[in-house]
Amino acid sequence: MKLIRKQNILPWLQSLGQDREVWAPILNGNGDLLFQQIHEGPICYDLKPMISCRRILFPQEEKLFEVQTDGTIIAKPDTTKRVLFGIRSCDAKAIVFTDMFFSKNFQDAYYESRRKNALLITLSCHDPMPTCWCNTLGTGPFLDKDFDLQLYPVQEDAFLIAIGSDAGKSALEASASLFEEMPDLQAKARIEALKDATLLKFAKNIDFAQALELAKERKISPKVYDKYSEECLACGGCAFVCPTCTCFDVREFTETGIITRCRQWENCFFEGFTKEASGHNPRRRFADRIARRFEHKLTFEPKNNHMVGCTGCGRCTIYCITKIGMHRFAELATTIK
Amino acid sequence: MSTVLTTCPYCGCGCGFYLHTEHNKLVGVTPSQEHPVSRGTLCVKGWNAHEMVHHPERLKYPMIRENGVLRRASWEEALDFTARKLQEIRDKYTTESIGFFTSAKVTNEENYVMMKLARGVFLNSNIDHCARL
Amino acid sequence: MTNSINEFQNAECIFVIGSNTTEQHPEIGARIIEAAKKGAKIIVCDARSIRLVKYAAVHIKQRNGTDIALLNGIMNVIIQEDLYDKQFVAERTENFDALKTLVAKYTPEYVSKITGVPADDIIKAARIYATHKKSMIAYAMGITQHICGVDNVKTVANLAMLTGHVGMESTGVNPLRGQNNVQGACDMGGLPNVFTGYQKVTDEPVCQKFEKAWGVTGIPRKVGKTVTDMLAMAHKGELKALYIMGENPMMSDPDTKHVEDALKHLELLIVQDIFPNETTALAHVVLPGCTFAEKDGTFSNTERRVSRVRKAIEPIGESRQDWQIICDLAQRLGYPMKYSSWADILREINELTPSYAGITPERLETGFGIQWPCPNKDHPGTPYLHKGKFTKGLGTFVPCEHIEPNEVPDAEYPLTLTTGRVYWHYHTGSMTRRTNLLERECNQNFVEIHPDTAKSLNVRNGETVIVETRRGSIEIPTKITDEIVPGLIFVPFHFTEAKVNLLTNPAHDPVGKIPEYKVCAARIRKKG
Repeated sequence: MKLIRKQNILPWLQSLGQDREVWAPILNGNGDLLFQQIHEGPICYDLKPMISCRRILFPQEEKLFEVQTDGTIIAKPDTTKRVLFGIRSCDAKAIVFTDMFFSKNFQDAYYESRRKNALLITLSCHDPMPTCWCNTLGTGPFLDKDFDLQLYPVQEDAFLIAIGSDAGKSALEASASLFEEMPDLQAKARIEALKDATLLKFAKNIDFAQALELAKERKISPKVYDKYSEECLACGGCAFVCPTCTCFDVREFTETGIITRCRQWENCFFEGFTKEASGHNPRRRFADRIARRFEHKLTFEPKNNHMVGCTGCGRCTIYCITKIGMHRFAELATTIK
Repeated sequence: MSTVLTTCPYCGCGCGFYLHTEHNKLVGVTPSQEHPVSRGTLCVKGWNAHEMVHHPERLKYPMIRENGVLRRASWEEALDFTARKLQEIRDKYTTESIGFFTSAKVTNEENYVMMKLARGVFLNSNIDHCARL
Repeated sequence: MTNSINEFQNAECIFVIGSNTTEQHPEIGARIIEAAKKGAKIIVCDARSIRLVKYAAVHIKQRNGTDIALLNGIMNVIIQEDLYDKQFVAERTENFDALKTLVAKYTPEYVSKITGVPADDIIKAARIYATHKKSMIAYAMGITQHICGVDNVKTVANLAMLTGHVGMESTGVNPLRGQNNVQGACDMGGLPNVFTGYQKVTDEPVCQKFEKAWGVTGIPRKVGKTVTDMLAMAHKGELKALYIMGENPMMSDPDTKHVEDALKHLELLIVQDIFPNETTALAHVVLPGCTFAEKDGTFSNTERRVSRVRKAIEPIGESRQDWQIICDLAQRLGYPMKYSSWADILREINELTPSYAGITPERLETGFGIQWPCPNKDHPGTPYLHKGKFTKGLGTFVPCEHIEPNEVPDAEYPLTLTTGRVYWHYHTGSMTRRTNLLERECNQNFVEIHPDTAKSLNVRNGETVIVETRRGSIEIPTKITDEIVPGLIFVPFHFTEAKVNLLTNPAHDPVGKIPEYKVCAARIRKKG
C-alpha cells in the first residue's frame, strides 16, 4: 500500500493543481477552518470544516441561466476541474446521497458538471466531534468505497493511501516519486488499529441507534417536535451546514432587460417552504415542519432510497444557534415517550 | 472563489462572518467559528446578508431632481450641485438652517467624517441619527 | 451594554424588559436560552408572550408605558425585604435616601393597580433578581421608546445599583442596540451634544482640541438639534437643507404625514443611500453609497466591540464608499478633507478619542475586534464597565415617578397600539425586503390582536381591517393570537404598503427626544 509523508502532501497537491483547483480544509489566521484553495493557507488535517465541500458542488447561490433581450438563453454549468482534498467519510457519504438526489428523477446539469470534474480525496477520521454519530450509521469514521483516494493518518507524519478509482490511481502515478510503499498486511493492520482506536473516541451519552430505530418505525412522539420547536430559533443554519440537505429555492430577477434565474439554499423549517400558492400550508405549525425535516431524513429516505438522509457529521448541533440539531432530536426522541 | 472576514450589517450583535465571492459577486456567507459573538452561528438574516447587495434596484449613479423628476447625473455634476446649493443656503440664511442625519448603518469612519463635515466645515452641531428610532 | 454578550450564558438571573430578544438579537436570545437550560431564572416583562416566556420563571405583562411603576414596585419590595446590597449602596452610590423615599409608595398593591400585574408576581420577580449574585438586565426599545424613555433607563439603572448588580461579570444594565452600528454612530459623535467618545461640545478644552486638530475655528460650543427637532424646524420653515445619509425617516419616524410635510418644505434634501426608498423619492439630490460588502472600515456592536468591515467586492455601478462622498463634498466646500483610506480616518479618531485611542487599524487587522474603552495600544479592551468605580465616581440614584403615556385609550380610541419588528425583517425593510427568502417568509404587514378583542370587534383572522389613530389610518390584515394581551395591538414597521408610522404618536421624551412608538391610542374598524 502507498504511503505519503506529511511534508510531501503539499508538493503532491500542488502538482495536481497544475491543471485544476485544489481545495482543502484551511486554517486561517483567525483560527477559523474553511474549505478553501490550498494557496490560501495551511491545510488542517485534524478537524473538519464547518461547511463541507457542499459549497463547491452545490453552492449557496448559483446562477442557472440568463435570458438575453433577444430571447437567447445562456446557461453555463461550471466545468472547472477540482481536487477536493481532506473530505471526511461523512461528507463523502453525503456526496453519494446528493448524487442520488440530483440524478434520480432528472439529471441536474449544474450539479453533474461540478461533480464529474471533482476528484475526491478523503481523509479518514481519527478525532470525532462530541456530536458525531457516523459510527452508528456506518458512514464513518472510514470508508470502504465512494472515494477516489482515501488517506489514513496511521502515524504522526505519514498517511497510508487506499485507491478507490482509476482517477485516483492516476493522481498517484503522476507524482510517483513522492510515495513510499508499505507491505499490504502491515498496512491493513495499522489501519485496523487506527479504526479501533477512533471508534473508542465517540461520545456514548446518546443512544442514536435507538433514535434511528424509533424514527424508521415512525414511533417518535409528537411531543418531541413540540419541544424541539420551542428551542429552535429558525436561523436555517442546520440545513446550510448539513452535507445531505439538497433543497433549494429558485428566484428570478431582471436587470437591464436580462432575466437571470438563480437558485439558493433553502431550509424546510421555513413556512414558505411548504406553503402552497393558495395560501394553504399543510405544515402550518412550526413543530410539523420540524417533524417533516427529521422524518424526511430518518424515516422516508431509508424507506424510499435505502439511505439514511443523515451521515452523522454532527454539524447541525455544533453550528446551531441554540445547539440543538440531530443531537437534541435523538436525546428527545429517546426520552419523551 | 475567495473569502473575506467581515461584520454583519444587521442588528447590534455584530456577528463575524466570511463573505464568499466569485468574479466580483457575493455567492454566500459562512459564520466565523472563533468569533466571540457568532461562534459558528448566525440568524436567518445573517445567513442571507449577501443577497441584497446585488439586488437590481441598487442606486447605481447620482441623480438630481429637475422639473420634478430625478434624472441621472455624473458624480462631478451631483457633487458640484450639492456643494453649491449648500453654500447658497448657508450664505442666504445661517449655517444652522442646515441639518445632518448621519447613520447607524455606515462605518465608524464614515460617521466620523460626517460629524467633521457638520462641525468642522459647517460649524454646526445639528447632527443626529436614528439612535432613538 | 455595560457587560458583554458572552456573559449572558453564565448569568444566574436574566431580567428581560422591552426586548423580544430571540427575534431581534438572536445571538443574545440564544445565550439567554442557554443560561435558562443551565438553571438560570429568567424574568420576562412584556405584554406579548415572546419566545423567552417559555423559559421564564415569571412573566410580567405590564400595561404598556408603566415600566417605571413596575420597576419602582420591584425596588420597593427589595428595600422592604432588606434584599438590597447595603455595602454597594454605601460605598459606591449616593442619593439612596431619595430613592427609598420615592419608592416607598410603590407598594406591590399600588403598582398592581397601575400596571395590571398581580402583586405576587412583582414580589417574586424582586426576590429572584435581588437574591442572585449574577443578575443581568437586558432591555431594548420597549424601555426607551416612551415619553419617559430617559426616566425608564434611569429607573433600570437604579434597580441594578440597588442590588449591586454592576461592575462584575454577568451583571449590569444592558441595552441591546438595534442596528449594526448605532453604537458606533453615537461613539463617533453623531449626536447633537458630543464629539467622539462622548466628549461634550459644551466643554471648551474639547472644542479647542478638535479645532486645532481640524485646523478650524468657531466650532459651536452649544448643543445642536436632534432628528425630532430638525424635522419640526423643517416643518416650520426654519431648517432649509438636510443631508441624510443611510436613513429613511419617511418610514422610521413617527407620524409620517408630518415627516413628509417637513421634508417637502426643504429647499435642499440630499439623500445618500443604497436603495431607492420613501425618502429618496423626495430628494433633490440622490447620492449612491455602498453596502457593507463594498467598503472597508469598522462597526461597533452593542457590547462596544469595534470590529472590521472588509471590502469583498468592488462597488456596484458608480456607487462610492460614503466617506469618500463626504470628503469629495468637503473638498468642494473649500475644506481639504483628504484621507487615503479608512485607516487614516481611524488613526485620527484614535488621536482625538481617549476611549478609542488603542483601537488602531493595525490591531484590528487580525482577530475579532476590541471593546472600548481601550486607552492605549497595549490595553486589551474592556469586557465590562464600572469595575470598582463608576466613571463619574459615585453612582447617583435618580428616582423617577411614573407618568402616564402621552395618549391613553379612551372611548373614541379604545385600544393601545404598539410597534416593533419581526424576526424576518430589519428596520424599514430596505435590505431584508429585497432578500428572497426573508420576503417570502413575511411579505405583508399584519396587526396582532387578542382573540377577545377580535371577537368584540367581530373581525376574523386574516381579515383586512382599518387601524386608525388621531394621526392617520392604514388597511391591514389581522393576525389573531393569544400571544398578546386583550386591548393591545401590535404592528411591525417594516412595510411601506401599510406604514404603521402614519399612526404613531410623535410625542417624545423631553430630554432624549425619543418618540413614543410603544404606546398610542387606536381603534379598529371593519372595512366597508
